[in-house]
Amino acid sequence: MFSRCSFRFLLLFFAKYYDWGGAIVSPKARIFIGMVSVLLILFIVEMVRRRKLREEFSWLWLLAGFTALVVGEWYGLQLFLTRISGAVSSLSIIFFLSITFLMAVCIHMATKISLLMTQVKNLTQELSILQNEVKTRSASSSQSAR
Amino acid sequence: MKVLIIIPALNEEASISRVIEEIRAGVANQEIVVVNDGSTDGTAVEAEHSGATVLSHHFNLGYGATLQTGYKYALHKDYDVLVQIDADGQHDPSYILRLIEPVCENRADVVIGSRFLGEGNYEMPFARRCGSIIFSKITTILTGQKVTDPTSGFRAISRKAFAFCARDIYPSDFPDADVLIMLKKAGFRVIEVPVKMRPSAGNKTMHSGLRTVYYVFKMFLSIFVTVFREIL
Repeated sequence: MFSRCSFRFLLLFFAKYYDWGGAIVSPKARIFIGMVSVLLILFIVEMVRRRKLREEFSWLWLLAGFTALVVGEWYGLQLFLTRISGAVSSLSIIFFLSITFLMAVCIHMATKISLLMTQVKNLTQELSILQNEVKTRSASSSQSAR
Repeated sequence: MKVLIIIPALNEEASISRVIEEIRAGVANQEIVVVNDGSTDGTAVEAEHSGATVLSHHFNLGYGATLQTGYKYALHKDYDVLVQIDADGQHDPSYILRLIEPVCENRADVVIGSRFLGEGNYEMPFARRCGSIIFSKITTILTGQKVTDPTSGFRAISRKAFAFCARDIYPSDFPDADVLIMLKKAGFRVIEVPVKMRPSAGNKTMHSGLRTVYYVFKMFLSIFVTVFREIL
């Protein structure tokens, strides 16, 4: 029976010395992914703090940061995801998750833009009607003043 | 009954005055509203000089949104019937009375001026005619009544129907067959009357180049979702 610790050691050993053809995320890459994820999370929080990004738009990016951090650092999860998806390399899983995330962001933004376009349309229509109303009233009041 | 005539216009300074004069000659004493959809020429000035009320969008919103501004204005001013007519002079204003008659007599909520019911001999380019036939067949099947000209912009609409179209469910661009299907689904009575259509003075059209491809895609998608959408 392998203990949890020896299993971890074995995985790290394989990761370091076994030629997986780039299948395993190297420790260097994991450190890099971790740093980028933490920086992304901090950057998003700072943007929200400075009110340059609204809370309602920040959640998806924060989720992305945390997901990258967890998937990048949790080696067992990488292996699990690689196995259940039938992927050859855990790197492809990371790429797949990234592309899926970017698509989710695009769809989220497209729905927001659709909503904003409807709001802009309604405001523009209201404005044109109100401008006409103001013009008509000022014309009639200047006529009655004469 | 209070009747409002709306003219959606985008860069139509050459024809707008003539259209307004023709409408005045046919139906006097009715308010004419030109909805200027962000024109960059003198459309708004010409329309104002001709005595029409002008509602100007600060930028281009699309044909559907332009019509909708007219519907909202009609609601705001408490009109009973609305007639929409194009600004390029293709629609003959002498048919306005024929259009509003069924609405005034409460026989219909939407009256479409059809080019293909035997009045005149309107010639359409082959590709557009094919598209029109396809959408007319689809509309006929989905509404259960014969619709010969679902793309005609010459229409009379009852208050109930334009109040419905003033909602956000109305499309901002190309409100054609999909809107007719939506109106029928919502229980409105749609009929067609024959009208004569003149050839366009210029070569301006809403459907050219890539816009035609987008139009076909949008219309198919919009019809598809309208069929499955709950209309409240």
